Amino acid sequence: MQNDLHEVIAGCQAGKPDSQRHLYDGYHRRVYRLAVRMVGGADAADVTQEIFLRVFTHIGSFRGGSAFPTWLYRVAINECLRQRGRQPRQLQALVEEPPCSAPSPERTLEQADLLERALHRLHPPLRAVFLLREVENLSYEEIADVLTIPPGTVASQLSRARAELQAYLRLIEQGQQQ
Amino acid sequence: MNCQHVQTLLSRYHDGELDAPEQASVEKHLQMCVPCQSALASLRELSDLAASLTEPEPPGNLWQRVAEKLPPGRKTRARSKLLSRWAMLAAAVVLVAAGTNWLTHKARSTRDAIAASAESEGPLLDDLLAVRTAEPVTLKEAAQLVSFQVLNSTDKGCQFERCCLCKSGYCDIVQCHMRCGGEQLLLVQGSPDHPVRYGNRAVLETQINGQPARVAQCDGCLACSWQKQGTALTLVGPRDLGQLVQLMAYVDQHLSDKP
Repeated sequence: MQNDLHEVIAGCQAGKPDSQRHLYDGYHRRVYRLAVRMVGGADAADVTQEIFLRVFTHIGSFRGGSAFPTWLYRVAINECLRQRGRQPRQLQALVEEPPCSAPSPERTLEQADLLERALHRLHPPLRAVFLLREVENLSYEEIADVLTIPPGTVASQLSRARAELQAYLRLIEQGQQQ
Repeated sequence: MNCQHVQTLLSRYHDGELDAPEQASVEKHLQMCVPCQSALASLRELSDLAASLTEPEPPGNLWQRVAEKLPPGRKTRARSKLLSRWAMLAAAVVLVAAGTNWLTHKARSTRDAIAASAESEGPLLDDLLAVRTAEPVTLKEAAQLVSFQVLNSTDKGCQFERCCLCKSGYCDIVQCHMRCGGEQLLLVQGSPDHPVRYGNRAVLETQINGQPARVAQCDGCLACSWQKQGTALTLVGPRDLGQLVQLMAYVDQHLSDKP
């Protein structure tokens, strides 16, 4: 573990506000982008807030055995899945309104929009595996550590997530062309 | 390899997660198979699309929203829900269906439990968790340096990470850091004359695997103290009672015999 991160974590464990802000500054973007794609843009800020409150409340249980980002992702994914379990009625709204409307520089708005919509049709645990791999660039072993599942299960769930996303993308494209 | 088999491996191949022989077989097949090449190209296209997703911008006031709900300058610990959780736990009888392992508890009032734990002279759990400087030792060295039994080995059930010896002000303490089932665990071993104290944490006095034990919540996980073969043991880190029972049995099984 890097010495500066170790010191920041130790400061957070001691309840130091400066360390908490430092940790937040280093990780809030990745947590927020994960929350956006797991629970939708409307609730992402609330969920991100809750994730960091849990991080600072339970950081005393982080013993350094795994990398801190792995532990952070675990807290984040668990909170996102917990929140999604309480808000299934918003699923239809998410399908209709993608969370990010700004166009990406290299792809058309339509293609990025299609993937956003397909992602929100994906079963949340599969979506988590896909996002951790394709957006957060975690290895199979790291994803297994985050989700507390075997690496073999990561492989099979990722394969399934990709297959379902490709199928959803075809369906959405066909729907748009009609 | 046929197409059906290769296509089950393509996702892992795309991520570089195949072992060398499988990777070579897939690459050999891809050289000659247009449908599988197309399937791989689709996976790459999906990854490219994911990489092009817009980075959402967090609201500017998000930190303020977090900071407003944090307790100011205090060591973070979830205390407020402890008593209600222990009230529910004390009202239930948990049966661990693992053959002969049964967990029953006779709940005492938290006030009595706190008073009882405060009477004995021993190191505070919070102090032990906050230890940053300690002498790293091997399990064998630890067994030779102290007067009580220590963990003698770990097998595939638990991954031993490191061990250290520290002075608690009451007695020598051996701390073993382990990883079991994905959970990070700390096993504190010391003299039974100076058992670990839980300070003002609510403690449940119970029986686990037929022996007296004290259980408390500790920063989102469980901590449990018991005595076995002349050693005061404290295990920190199990996520639930079921795992705690199994790990206690594991520790009891792996304590060394003193020469």
